[in-house]
Amino acid sequence: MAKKEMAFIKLQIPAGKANPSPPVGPALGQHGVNIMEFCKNFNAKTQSMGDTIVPVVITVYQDRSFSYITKTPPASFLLLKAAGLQKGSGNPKTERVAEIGRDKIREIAELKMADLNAYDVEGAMRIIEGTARSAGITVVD
Amino acid sequence: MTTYKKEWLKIQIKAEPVLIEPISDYLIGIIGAGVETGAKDEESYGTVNGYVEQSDLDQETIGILLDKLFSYLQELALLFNVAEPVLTSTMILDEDWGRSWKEHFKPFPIVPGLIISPTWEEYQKAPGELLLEMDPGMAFGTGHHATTSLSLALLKGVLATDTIKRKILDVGTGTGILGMAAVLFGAGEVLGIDNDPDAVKAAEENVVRNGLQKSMQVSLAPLSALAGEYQVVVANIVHDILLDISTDLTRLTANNGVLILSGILAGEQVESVVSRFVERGFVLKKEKVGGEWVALMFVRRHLICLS
Repeated sequence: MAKKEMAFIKLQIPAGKANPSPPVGPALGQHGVNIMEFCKNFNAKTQSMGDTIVPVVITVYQDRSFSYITKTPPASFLLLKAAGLQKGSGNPKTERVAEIGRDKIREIAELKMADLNAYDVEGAMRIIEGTARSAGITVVD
Repeated sequence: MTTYKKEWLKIQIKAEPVLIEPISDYLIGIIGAGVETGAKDEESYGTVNGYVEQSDLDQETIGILLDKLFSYLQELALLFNVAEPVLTSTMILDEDWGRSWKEHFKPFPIVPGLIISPTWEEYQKAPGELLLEMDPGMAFGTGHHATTSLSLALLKGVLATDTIKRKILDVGTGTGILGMAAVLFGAGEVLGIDNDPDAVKAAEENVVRNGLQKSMQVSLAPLSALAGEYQVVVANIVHDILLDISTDLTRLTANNGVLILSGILAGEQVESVVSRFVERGFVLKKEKVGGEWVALMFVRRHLICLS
């Protein structure tokens, strides 16, 4: 019988370097997941990926066991990378001045369309453009 | 270990399901948050929780961050033509998250006849049952991971079939679980090593707690510094490290001795481990699979010259 799912947790963790400190801790700990067991799993699977951040979607089941899948970087990562910016620092006071071509927005939108629940590429592009504006990036033709 | 109290900004957004993905994407990529969403048939479905470390952010910065997020949420609602998401935020204090799972750690049989019980639970063993009590601390190896039970099943198989008091090496001992179980299964002498001081401390305490200190030693000594030969060597670590230490594992396994390896994922990782150890003179005897994880048992057949 399939196990009953309790929560999905999405985190971004440096490859091969998961540890019990937050955000892994609060996200997994509150659901009763054995954090060290998750870290062992994650580090074993991502140890060869080098110096990168790996988005991971963890499914926690009601018996406190878990499974997870690693994903390609989120659209927002790809956007910042394309604009030559570092990933989100959490500090919005640092004004960013960057531009990105609409063709690049289309490229990212096509790649991540399924994940973004958009009806078409135009819709996905509008989501990405909104993300760009919030990150201080101007979209140019 | 560093101990300091940090604060975290917990952002909670209740939104139409169609918005969950773009909102998660924004929180992860732009704000640098860890994000959690509820499963489909749970009450929490439609809620996105983001955790942002607050060590560097003042109230003004948090205000700007939340304003920008709010604008983005309004924009998304218009785009998808759905109700505007509801945004709330609270500050939470850092706590010992690594231990909150403990309340769910209950006594359980890791292999038939051997019960693992956390120190904070009372367990009355039945006649003929073996019991290991442990506090994992910050070490790996509560027995819940498939690699531990797979290794243990192989170890039990080896020790159950003979009457020799074997000398055993447990590489990457963690909580000491495999080494301690080996003693209960009839090993003569066990050495557990780990390169993590927290693990060595946890394992030493667990050995004493179970009264096994006469049979099992725990050490921080590097593998390369060990001498002698062991009739059984067990290493439940990860694939890359097993390959890195293959020379030392070979050197320390006695001729006709058993080598049990785990922490290996099914597929390519198994192939490369088998290939490496066969090259070094081992014969693969058993393979145990648990989900995506595999434990391998080799016997060292030939003495070979190592470069």
